[in-house]
Amino acid sequence: MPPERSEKPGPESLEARLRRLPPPPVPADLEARLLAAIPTLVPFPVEKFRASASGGALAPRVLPALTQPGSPGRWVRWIGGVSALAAACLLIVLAWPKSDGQKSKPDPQKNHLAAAGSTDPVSPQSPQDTPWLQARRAPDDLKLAPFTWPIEETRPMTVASSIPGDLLD
Amino acid sequence: MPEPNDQRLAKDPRAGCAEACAELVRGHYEKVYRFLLHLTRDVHAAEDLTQETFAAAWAKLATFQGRAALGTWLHRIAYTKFIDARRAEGRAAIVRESLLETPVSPADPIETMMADEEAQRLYQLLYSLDVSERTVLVLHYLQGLSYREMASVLEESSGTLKWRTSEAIHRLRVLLNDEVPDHAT
Repeated sequence: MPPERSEKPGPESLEARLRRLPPPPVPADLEARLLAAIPTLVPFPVEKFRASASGGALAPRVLPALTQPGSPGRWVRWIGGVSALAAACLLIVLAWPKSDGQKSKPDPQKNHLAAAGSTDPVSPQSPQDTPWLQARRAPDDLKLAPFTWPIEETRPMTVASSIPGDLLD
Repeated sequence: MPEPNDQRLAKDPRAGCAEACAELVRGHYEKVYRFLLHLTRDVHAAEDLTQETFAAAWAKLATFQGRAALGTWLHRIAYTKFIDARRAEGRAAIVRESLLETPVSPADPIETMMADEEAQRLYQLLYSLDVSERTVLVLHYLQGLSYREMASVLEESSGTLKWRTSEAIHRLRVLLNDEVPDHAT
């Protein structure tokens, strides 16, 4: 009987046998192939990129190298970028149009011009504005023609008058 | 923990030092190749994936944070390459998981180079396991990675990997006992 068959394959022995397994051989030319692939695959040197005036096409390959943790100007670029972003956000907030609370008090002179059909380029009217929207934008203090209901109202409709009596029978 | 040598190797190639890249290849390519060979069980596929692994390593070297050892990082890339290749190969290749059902090719290093009969038999049983079971056993026992390093490679918790390794060992032991009728009780 072979010795391995007489051995009880316990947990330790199996793990030890796995650890003792001889490694499979490695192809002899694999190292040479991997080494030959290095020059064409290594990221472009940062120093050469900075010195090169026409390095735009190589930027995607170089960008990770520029943002590497060990890069000296990395934090300066980060702080500059974040500051520029914050300034842009602040400008957007400040330049944002006022809210509806201030729309209720428009400039009467501007509204008067708008009602008169003025072609003031500052006017917020757009081609998509319907007459209903324009009327909605009209200020409360603007003098408009009195509203008249187009259908003449005869008398208030009640249940007693709308339902015929014979239907209730 | 990354070794100081790894840190130096990781920095130098980013500066374009080809010699450091060569040192990186020489220090790790055998382990990467054997890991991929155990996963793929195919010499040519392992060679191709090893080259793809190092190509990806050069491309990603700038993003290497140094939190893990360079060898563990390369194992992670290699495992990702294997998963990608396996997905690309499709369902037809997944069916060929069992080595017992697959005729051993003449280029099979286990068949041709292993003079040790017991080692050959153990390799065959190991290769007959499911790829997920085989992966944890190969990483832990053949590649010598700790559970923490395996967690970095496979992106799973150490506890889960301990359990999976234990289950895989149990499965391998069952296969071993089934193959040896003297021990079947």
